[in-house]
Amino acid sequence: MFDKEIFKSDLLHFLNDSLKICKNNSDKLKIKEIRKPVFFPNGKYKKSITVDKGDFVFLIKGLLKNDIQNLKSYDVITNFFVSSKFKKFNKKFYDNPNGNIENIPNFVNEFPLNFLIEYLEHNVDFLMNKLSFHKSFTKFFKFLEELLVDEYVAPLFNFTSDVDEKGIQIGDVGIRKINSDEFYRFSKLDTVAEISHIYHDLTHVMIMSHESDDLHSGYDYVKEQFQILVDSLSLFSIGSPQFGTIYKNITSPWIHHDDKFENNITYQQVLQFNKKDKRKFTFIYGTQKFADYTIKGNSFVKISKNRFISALSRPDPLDKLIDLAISMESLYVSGPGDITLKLVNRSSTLLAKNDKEREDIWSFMKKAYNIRSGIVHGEELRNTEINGKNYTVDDIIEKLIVLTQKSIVIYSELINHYDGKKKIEKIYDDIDRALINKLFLKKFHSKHKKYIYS
Amino acid sequence: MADFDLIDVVCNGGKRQHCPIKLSSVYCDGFKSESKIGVFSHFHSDHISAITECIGEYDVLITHPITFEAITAIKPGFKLREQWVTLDGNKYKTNFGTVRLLKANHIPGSSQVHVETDGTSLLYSGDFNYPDIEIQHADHLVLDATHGDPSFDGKTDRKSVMNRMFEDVKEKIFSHKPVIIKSSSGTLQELIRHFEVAYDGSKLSHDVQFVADKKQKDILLKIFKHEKNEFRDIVDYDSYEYWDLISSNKPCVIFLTNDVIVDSSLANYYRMLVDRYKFTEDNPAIIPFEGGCRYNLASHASIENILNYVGDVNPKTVVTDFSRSGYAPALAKLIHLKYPEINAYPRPAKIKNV
Repeated sequence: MFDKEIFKSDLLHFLNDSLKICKNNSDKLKIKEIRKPVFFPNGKYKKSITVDKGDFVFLIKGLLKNDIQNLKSYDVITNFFVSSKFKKFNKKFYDNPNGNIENIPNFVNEFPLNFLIEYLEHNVDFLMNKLSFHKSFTKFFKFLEELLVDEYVAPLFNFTSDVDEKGIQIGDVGIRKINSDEFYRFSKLDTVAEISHIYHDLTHVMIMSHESDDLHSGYDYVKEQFQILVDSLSLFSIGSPQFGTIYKNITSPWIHHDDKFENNITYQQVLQFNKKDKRKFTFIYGTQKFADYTIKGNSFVKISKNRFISALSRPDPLDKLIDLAISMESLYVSGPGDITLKLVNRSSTLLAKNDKEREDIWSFMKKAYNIRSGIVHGEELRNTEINGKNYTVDDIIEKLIVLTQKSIVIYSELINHYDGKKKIEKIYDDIDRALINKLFLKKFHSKHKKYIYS
Repeated sequence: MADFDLIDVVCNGGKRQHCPIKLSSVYCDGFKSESKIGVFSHFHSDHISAITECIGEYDVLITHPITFEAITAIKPGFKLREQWVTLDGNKYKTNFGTVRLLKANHIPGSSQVHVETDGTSLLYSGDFNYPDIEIQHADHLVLDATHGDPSFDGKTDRKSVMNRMFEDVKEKIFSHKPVIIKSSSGTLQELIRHFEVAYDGSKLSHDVQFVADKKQKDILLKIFKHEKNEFRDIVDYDSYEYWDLISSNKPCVIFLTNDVIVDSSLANYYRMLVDRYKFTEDNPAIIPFEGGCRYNLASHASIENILNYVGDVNPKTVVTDFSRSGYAPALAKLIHLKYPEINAYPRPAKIKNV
């Protein structure tokens, strides 16, 4: 990287020169009305208000570009942008597949214009303000230092939290409160008369920085990371969070923004996440982040997890229960015969902390599986009593969700302790042995004790 | 060798600029001082770059009505000049013979120039595509050599490819992805017309904005003036409305000619690129790449079709135009190889880049 102080001094010179041009043409500045979101104290959308905003992008890029680019101080600035890093940036933005014969733009030459626009957004009077210059410069230089890094953000639906604007970091992914600019872009506030109902409850976003040499591969990687976090949330608490379209550099003044993946978002049960739960959640996130589902012997956990996520989005409780039962079966039973017995014995052995809980889970799972069998043979879903306790349909489903969540998390950890072929059979052998051997049960639980006793 | 009084590519000092094609006393697509009759084969900039010089000196300027509309869309003042003669199937008679324009199938209005003088027929192909071109025998032929290289041999079907382009545009717009289409002038207008009028399936809502350079838009509205009511209002490239569109990433389709260097604001757009690419024999007509797709709308004939065209015209001599294509010497050799009875050579013999 070049000398920061020399660059700063030259940039200040350029800004002085270009502000004179802007001042002389200030009558050409177009003022447009934009709608700005206003939020309730709980962070939810309240209404929009209309504010006037100068269109500095059009003024600089649409009207004054040539005059500014003819400045000597402009050339001085662009002469800094010549190293291989800048060439890489240009290639990233305009890759020329198969060496064709197109006109190749030099995007780095737009940086001074973008800097000027960013400065004017905060100094609408076209006057030099050194403090403001310093702030813009600091952001600009950080961007230049990390030229190939993109900032991704996605709205997090069916999610509510006390996490604030500063946010929390879970692995590579952050969660924070949505800001006004993001909400404006996501909801298309400027183009629609009435924003879609799903945005009325939107309060948080997921964020991630990722470096890539091209414009496209980053999306796939980030989508995968966001999915791991959302899956982990689903395994952490009751609710069905979903993420929407992924936006890239949405509030960056230096690069034009972009977006990919239009997910169809539906209203689901809202997941409540509290900042104080970060530690426990980070553990669950870790199990999902490091579980390698591409290994053939681990795929049964992935199948179970997918079925579980599918259950959460089912509006009909009957479908929900069937999906949850299938999810549990994928984990605890392989092959024909004694399905109920295998399922209840193994799940109660794996999930319970003590004898009392083991009996409770055993009885509950037996009943739940019988209900599942009844449903597939045409019976209706109704309230029931297990071990002297009354369960409504919602209670049954909720408890089944919790047991399935725990099972998936434990299995995601367990699969890392077994090798070779027939991994699932080896795990079953150990669970079955633990059922009849208390000493072995204790030893077996130590493989996943962090979670089971949390 | 041919008689250079009859046909030639006349370059001033061998420089590759404004070189007119000489067909007896007629000069095509360039300026030659002390001449009287000029013809413009089509409205691409490398063929009408000498128009201001020509209009100041020539007595007669012949072109196709569509090319005339396009030229006067670019320079409205030229419409007032009295030298214009537009030909669409009819002949123009002079004291030395007749001039006709023949369909060239390159872009709308593109024409070959056919001159008959003293029992000898002369033909300038202009930029052309084959087949679907009007064939007329000529004794002496000046041949456009663009793509006169065996590497430009990709097969395509223009209508199918244009249909596919529109399907791709719709798919991207429905997924909220703005699109940028880059092509040459002429093809650009054909594409807009195809999307708005000719395409048989479901159209794109007029809520989706089209953007084009004002000059290209004017050409569109002139050359397809009878269909202009079918076109949506097109936003001028670089206007305030344009910047408003892109700053909010609204779905839109931006049509630009290949010479426009795009701003970084468009770098994320889905790129649909037409022409300016060597589609070889092994290439399909549609080649996707990350972030975009190339489409072969071949507005120039492949080497095989150039040779077929020469066979159909059946001339005694062929001059390949070295001023507009570096492939001219190779093409002349290929013609002579296939048709040993034909005298084929590039003109001018040597060329200097300016």
